[in-house]
Amino acid sequence: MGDSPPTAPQDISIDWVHVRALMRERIGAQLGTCDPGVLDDLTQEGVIQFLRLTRRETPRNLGGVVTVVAKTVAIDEIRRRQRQRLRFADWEQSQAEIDHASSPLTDAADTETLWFLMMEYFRGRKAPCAELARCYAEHGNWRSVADAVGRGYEAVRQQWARCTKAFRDDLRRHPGPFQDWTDGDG
Amino acid sequence: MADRRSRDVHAWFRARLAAHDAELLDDEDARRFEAHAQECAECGSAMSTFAEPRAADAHTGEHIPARLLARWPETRRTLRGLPRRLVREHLRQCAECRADLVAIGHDAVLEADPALEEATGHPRVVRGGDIGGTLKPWIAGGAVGAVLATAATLIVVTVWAPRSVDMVSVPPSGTAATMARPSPFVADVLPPVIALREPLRGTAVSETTLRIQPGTRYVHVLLPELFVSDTATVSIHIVGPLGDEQAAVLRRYEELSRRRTLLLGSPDRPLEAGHYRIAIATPFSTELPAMEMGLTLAR
Repeated sequence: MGDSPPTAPQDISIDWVHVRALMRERIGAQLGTCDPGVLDDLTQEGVIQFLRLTRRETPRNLGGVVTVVAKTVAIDEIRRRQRQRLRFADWEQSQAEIDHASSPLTDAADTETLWFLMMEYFRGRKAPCAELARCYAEHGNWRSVADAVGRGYEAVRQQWARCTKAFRDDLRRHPGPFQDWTDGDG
Repeated sequence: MADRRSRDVHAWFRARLAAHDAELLDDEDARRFEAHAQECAECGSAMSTFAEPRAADAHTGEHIPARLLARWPETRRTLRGLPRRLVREHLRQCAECRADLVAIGHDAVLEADPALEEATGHPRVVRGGDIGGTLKPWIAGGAVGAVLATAATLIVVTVWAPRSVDMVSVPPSGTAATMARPSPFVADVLPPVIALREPLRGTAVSETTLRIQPGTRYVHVLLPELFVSDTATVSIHIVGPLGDEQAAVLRRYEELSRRRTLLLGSPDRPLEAGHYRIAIATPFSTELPAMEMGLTLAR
């Protein structure tokens, strides 16, 4: 994140109409039958991911990058559907859930949304927590984080527990789409 | 009763899948979650849906997830509570996320809305659409920045309904259009709509003449039906009497097509008489051949 405009190599010439068409085709091929509106949304998602990648690195094989991004988006969607099916497997429950359903895009089943919100919360309010979260994202487990920051495992875990409690407490007051799990036994 | 209790455990577990994956559960919940994953194969398999490969932004948190940006009209309309406030804070500071939104044809603004931000609980599902409708995003291209980065002195207001007006103001040397609600006064005194003459079949240019009084600040014109898909991004460029580009607007056709009217002018000064050119195109698709409508404002 930063307030400077995106840097090169965004100046490379990319045929965005072609990228979009290719992305749509590849995601569609991965998913099989798909509602055209959903496919539009997923294509858009893929294109944003592609845009972010090209901002970091000039793609040498445009078709290859599109294929990789499309596959990731499609797999992510398939898994999201699996989770949704499980959550709404019980009709009685689904009636209640659907009645006050949050928008699918802000569904609590997305780690990336939750992780982003938590990071944004820490960035603006608790910088050491943001640093710890970044370290976890890099290392993937708390033992490695403890080694990396030169502190004990328990100390790191306790700090993380305090960080996440602050976020959970604030989120509980204004949970938006995350009421399901901030509600205690909800 | 046992069945009900068991169902509640599964529901409890499945509502916390992402929170667990994001290391956000407290110790007690985390223990309960992991114990249930061990004993319930179905819930355990739900947990495995978080295995690799992951979305590229699953654990970075550096930018607004592509999933939210890709459905931006819906995000703007429905995101609530602390999450809305956090997304807005991020957008204000992050040039890349703003650029992403502009690149796909959206205004990079998430309005502060106390009603949404203070809200607790779930939004009701709105069926049948509201004034904003559900927009299906369309990829715009790298040219978007160029489209928006124009000198402009004219304010263009796209009008959806008599009392619901969005104002698009292109700053003189800015790089992005900004949106603002005009004063209720503007919405209340909309001048009558004048239909712009459509280009005849086989031509791409038309001319309309409109008499204005001295001191007239706005003209209200109706665009022709473009017959493009709702998701198409439509660009409108307005060139003034001196050949200077006065405004550039990028909209999804669905946003324009509700009434297809533009309110041209500025609250700060009267409109200049002369010949204006309104160029309309779908820059990122070939759905619409570029067309140009001349509008002569005569005293």
